[in-house]
Amino acid sequence: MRHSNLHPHGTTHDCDFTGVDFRYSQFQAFYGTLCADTDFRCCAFVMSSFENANLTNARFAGTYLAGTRLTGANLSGVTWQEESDGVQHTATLPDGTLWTPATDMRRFTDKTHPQYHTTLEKVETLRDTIDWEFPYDLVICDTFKPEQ
Amino acid sequence: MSHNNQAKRYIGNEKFRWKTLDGQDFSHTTSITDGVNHAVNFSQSSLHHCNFEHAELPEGRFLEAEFHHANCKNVNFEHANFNNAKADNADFTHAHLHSLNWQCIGGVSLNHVMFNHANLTNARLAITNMNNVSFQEATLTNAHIGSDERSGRT
Repeated sequence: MRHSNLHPHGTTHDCDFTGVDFRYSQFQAFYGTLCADTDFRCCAFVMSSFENANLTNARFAGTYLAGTRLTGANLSGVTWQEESDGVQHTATLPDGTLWTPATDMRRFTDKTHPQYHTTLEKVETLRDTIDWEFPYDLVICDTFKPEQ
Repeated sequence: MSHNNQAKRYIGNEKFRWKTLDGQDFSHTTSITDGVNHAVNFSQSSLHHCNFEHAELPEGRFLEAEFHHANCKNVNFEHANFNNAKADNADFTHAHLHSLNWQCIGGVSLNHVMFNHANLTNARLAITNMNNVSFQEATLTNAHIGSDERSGRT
C-alpha cells in the first residue's frame, strides 16, 4: 500500500502549530490542522496535507507545496507572495503552478468549485511522481532567514 | 525558590543509564565536563515525572528513555539525542532544543506534549505519530518535521 493514496493521513494529528516560525523547514508526511499565523516561508513539503486546516494568516511566500492537499482548508488572510529586496518570492501551489494574484485558491479547497476535481487529480498525480526526497534545491534564497 | 539562588548541581555521565529514576529532581543541574565526556546519558532510563526545569544538559543522550509527565520547561537540551524516547504529557515550554535529534521508529509516538515557545531551530523531529502536540510560538527554523519511515510507502 502506498503511503498516501488511500488515506489522507499524515503524522501530526490535531497538533497546534499556531504562530510557529517554520521558515526554511522541510516536512515529510506533515498533516497540519491548527496553523493560524504560522510562518511557513521558504518551506518545502513532501507528501503532506493541510486538509481542513486553519491556515488563517499563515505565510507561504517562497514555499513549495506541490502535491500537498488543501481540501477544506481555511486560507483566509494567507500570504502567498512577498517581496524582498525587489524580488518577489512566490509559493509553488499543490498542482505545481506558481501562485499569482489571479489564482482562485478555492479550486484546491472547495469541493463544489468547478475546477476542484481536475485540480485534485493533478495534485494526486504529483504525489505519485514527486520523489520522497526533499527538494533541497528548491530552497532558493536567504531572504527570510532569521538573524542568528 | 529563586533561580538565581539555586546552587548549580553537576551530574555525571554514565551512571544514569538503565536506571529507574522516576520523580527525581534534576532541576538546575548541568552535566559534568571532564574534557572527554560532556553529555549526560539517560538512555533506556525511566524518568517519569522527573523535574528537569532549568537543567543545562546539552548533547544529552536520552535514547529510548521514558519520561512521561516530565517537567522540561526552560531546559537546555541542545544537540541532544532523543531517538525513540517516549515523553507523553511532557512539558518543553521555553526549552532550548536547538538541533535536537528525535527520531521515532517502530510505532513510537508523541502525545500531549507542549513545545510552546521552545527553540527547535535545526531540530529533527522524525516522528511518525504526533497527537495533540502544541508548538505555539515555537521556533523551528530549518527543522525537519515528519516521518522517516519510508518503508510505509510500499
